[in-house]
Amino acid sequence: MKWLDRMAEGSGRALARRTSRRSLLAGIGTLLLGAAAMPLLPVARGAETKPPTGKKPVAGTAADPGDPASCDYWRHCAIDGFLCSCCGGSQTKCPPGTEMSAITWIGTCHNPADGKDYVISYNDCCGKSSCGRCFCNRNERDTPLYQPGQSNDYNWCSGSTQANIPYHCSTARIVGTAE
Amino acid sequence: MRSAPWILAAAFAFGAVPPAQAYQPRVNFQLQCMGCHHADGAGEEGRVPSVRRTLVPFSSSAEGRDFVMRVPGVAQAPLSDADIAALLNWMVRNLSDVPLPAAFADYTADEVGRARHRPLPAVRDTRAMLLSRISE
Repeated sequence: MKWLDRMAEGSGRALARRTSRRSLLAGIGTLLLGAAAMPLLPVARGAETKPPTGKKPVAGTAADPGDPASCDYWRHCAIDGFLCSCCGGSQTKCPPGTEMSAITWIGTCHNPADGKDYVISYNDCCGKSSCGRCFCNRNERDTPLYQPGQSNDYNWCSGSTQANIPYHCSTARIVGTAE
Repeated sequence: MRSAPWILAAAFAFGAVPPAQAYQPRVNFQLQCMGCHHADGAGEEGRVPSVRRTLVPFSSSAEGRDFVMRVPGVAQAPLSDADIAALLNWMVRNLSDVPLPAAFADYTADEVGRARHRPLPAVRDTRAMLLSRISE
């Protein structure tokens, strides 16, 4: 049985050479802290759905399906521009440092969730150079430039408090149902 | 979209272009006007005129009505004469700070049809002239 003694002694000495006596405490500490911190991580929180507040649907829910950072999102059916959802804002809010133009291009989009058409206001966010991310150009019911009221090729930032300030990105806000 | 070919076939069978979807006046206002005139019709100071204190007084005189129906945003809107009339009748009742006179005559499709096809070149001058008459 000498070989067993030698093996036990060898592995014991090797372990002692490789690790410090405090490393066991450190390991246990890490395990304890890690277990405590696990629920704080943002994993899977996006999957939780909040009940919609008010009449307007909340994005990413059964009533307002899809990814607001995608051109395929139903509200983007008539958009021409960069999605504010990809630029530090959302489909209803401008990114910090930009201003929402009050004058805007308006269209209608079909919500696949409830089968209704909605009036969508594509308010531009203005005051910074072009965002450059998530460019979408779907243009449903867009008209030529000589019908300016329904043309989305204009720089609608001309309606912000300072005329002709640069275009940054576009939102897609629900105005109401189109009936 | 499975039914789309049938709708198109039906339209061709009747020899007609499918009409644009008919909306309530409120929705036509949102789609054709609100982008610039804002949801309450107040517009943008110095850029887009407010309708709130002018539409009802303008609509109470023959010249004013003529201006309202010929102003480019109204005359060139992609709406039928009847839809334009319904839209203006909705606006005078919902977007005005000035109450509607008891003797107010609603806009009619015939009236709109006659007026909107005559171009109005001097939009600003005509508006200024009408405004000066209101304030007198």
